[in-house]
Amino acid sequence: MSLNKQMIMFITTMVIILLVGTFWLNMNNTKNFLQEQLQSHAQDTATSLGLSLSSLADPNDISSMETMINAVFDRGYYAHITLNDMDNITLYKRENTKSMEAVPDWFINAIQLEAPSAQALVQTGWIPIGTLDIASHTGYAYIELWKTVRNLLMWFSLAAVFAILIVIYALKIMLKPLKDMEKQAEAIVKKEYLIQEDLPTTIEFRSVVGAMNAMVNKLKTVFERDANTAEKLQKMAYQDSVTELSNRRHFEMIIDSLLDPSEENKPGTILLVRVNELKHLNDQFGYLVGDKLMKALAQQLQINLKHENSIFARLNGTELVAVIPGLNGTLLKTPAENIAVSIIGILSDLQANKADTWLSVAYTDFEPGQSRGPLLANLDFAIEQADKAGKNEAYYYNTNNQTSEQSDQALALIDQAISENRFVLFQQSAYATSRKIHSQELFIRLKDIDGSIRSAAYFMPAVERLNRTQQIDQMVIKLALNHLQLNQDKNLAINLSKSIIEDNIFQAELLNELKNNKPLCPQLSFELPERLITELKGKSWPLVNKLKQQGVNIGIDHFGSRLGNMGYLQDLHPNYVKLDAAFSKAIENDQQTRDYVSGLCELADSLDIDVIAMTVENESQLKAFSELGVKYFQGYHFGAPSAL
Amino acid sequence: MAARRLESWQKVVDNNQNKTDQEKLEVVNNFFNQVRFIDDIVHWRQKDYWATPVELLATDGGDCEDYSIAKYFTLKALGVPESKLYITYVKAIRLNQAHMVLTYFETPRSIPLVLDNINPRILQANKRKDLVPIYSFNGDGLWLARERGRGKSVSGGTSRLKKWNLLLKRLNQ
Repeated sequence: MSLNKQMIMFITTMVIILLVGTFWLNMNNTKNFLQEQLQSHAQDTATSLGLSLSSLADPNDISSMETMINAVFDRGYYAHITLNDMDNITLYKRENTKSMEAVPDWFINAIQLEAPSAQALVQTGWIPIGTLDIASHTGYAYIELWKTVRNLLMWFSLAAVFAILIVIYALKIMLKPLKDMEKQAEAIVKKEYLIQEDLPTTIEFRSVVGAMNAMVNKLKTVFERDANTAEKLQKMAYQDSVTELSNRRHFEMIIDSLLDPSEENKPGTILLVRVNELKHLNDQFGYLVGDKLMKALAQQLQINLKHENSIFARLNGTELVAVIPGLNGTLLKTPAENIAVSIIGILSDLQANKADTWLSVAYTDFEPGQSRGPLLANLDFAIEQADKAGKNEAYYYNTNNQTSEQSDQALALIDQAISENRFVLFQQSAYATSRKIHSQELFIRLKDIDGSIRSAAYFMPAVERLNRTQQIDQMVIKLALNHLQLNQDKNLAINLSKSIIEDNIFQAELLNELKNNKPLCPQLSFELPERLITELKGKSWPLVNKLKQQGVNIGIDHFGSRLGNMGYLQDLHPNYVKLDAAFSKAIENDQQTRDYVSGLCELADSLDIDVIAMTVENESQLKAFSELGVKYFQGYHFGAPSAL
Repeated sequence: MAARRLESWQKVVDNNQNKTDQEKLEVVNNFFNQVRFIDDIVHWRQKDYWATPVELLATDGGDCEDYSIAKYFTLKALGVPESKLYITYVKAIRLNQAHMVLTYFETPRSIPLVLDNINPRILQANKRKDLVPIYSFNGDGLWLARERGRGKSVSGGTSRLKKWNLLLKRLNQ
């Protein structure tokens, strides 16, 4: 039982005991008073009647005596008036046996009022001739007592109800800080850091809340320090200090994971910018101006190629690179040319127009399964072509002429597949060290007409072009819920794409669907890429919070891939994070990557967030991650995606 | 002196337990009639003060109701039945004033004997032409009523005359 209830019960009991006691005392006093009144009333009558009867001259004049007794009896309120002679033989008696109508019988039975009789002598001269015996009628007293009891009962009940209401209300107010402290303590257990701004006025509560706030602040500081450390490690490992783009190491990690055919990767475009005669600028205007040029170029790159999933890096002193997954090179003509000529503006901004520095821009397509070497060789070939074309020229090396022709055909096929619902779910499990399944990540696969299974890389570009990603997402969610209804003990993880974040109607439908399947929600996880969490915070966070309210789990995919602050983990507090696949390539050999991943694990661990290493392909990677504190793994080492 | 009077009262009670009612009446009447008659207003500086037997003896002074009460309680202590004793309000004709005497009834209907301080002899009531009877009370009840009238907390009934009973008990020893 809660403290609140116990105190209410205790105080209520005390109040009732007090009131009942006072009530009893009051009633008894009234009763005793009435009782005495009854007696003295009887005695007074006995004396005065006795005196009157004694004044009669004739002791045998019974009829006169009867008349006098009648007069007294009829005017008063007596149980009986009896005249006895000296041998106790009744000479005359009047009696009133009527019961009280105004008072209930149970009350009369419960409260015994006695009307003691009073005696007086009747005498003639010196000699007593008889005795009078008189008792008052209790009726009047009962009526009085009954009225008193009813009044008392009414007022005392009112007082009791009022007192109890006040007690309940007062306790609610007094114990509110306790409730808040309970919430705070629960939040601490969940690694959420809640500060109570309004300190309670009760001294004891005040000091406890103060202590708890101090503790929460301490934990917060520790977390923030860890987050800063992770960020520093990240910058040291993967960031170019001048342009604040990724460095070559990061670029290689990312491009490798994008080219990995085992992942759900899409083909894309890679663009290279080479600054020619940078030395000329440096020599004439100093290194600082050179650095400013590189920085401005990096900004131009980011502005012109702002696209979902774009990655920008500085390969070396004079080369910048942009990777744009999911985009065909044919669409890059204008942005590439814009970038190529942007140097003219930049140089004039730097007041270095005279510098003989110019750009070559080249871009080409890539697709999963390619190796990094040949891809970079293609890019080198392309940049030579741009060089030959002249200063500030862009060159597109188109390596997949046939895809556009294919895609028209593919579009029709995929359209047909959607209408025929020819999709199935595949899954890849994330395992704990103990081989217990953490969750099963779902992938959608297309079943071709010939029965062969096609991965997302095959049909997703077409789906995107048809603007039907949302339909695919809905399908995945529906299939997953159906599967959970039949398989109670599974945990399924669904990837959410940008489409859901931008489509309010789809969001509402999803939340409604979850509401209708409330019991299944704890078995569902939704994964969002870190990019959506950090770059589209305004849209993604409200969605995440709404999803959390439904009781589903939240995961962050590609965790650690973006250069930036990790502090958001504390506020968003997902259930798990999936390390970016890029780390897996470097984890065995690159000490800086190891330091950074280790920092990330500590950070997540301090918030009780599970960390899952992705694309784990061999025992040594598993070992390397384990050493850094990773407890969950997913990848080909544990098996390829299979039908759910 | 006061102590001696109280002691001799004690002796009166102790030595006459086995006498007849008649003898007891004589002894008690004579014993208390020795006490000086002093008007309440002079003695107690208030009108109509009812003294206890102890006060009566200790101060060696009292008026009619003090004599009657003292005689009544002493006779009770000597074992005379309560039902035979009455305190009677009378009018003293010659003095033309309200007076009080103790009356003793041999039987309920017999003519009572009068124990008076004006006339120290115990006479039958019909011989006392100087007194007109007005009304009689049982001694205990009357005493209680008086005490209550004086503002003392006294609940009714003979059994509740605790102090008196204690005193009477002491007298009996």
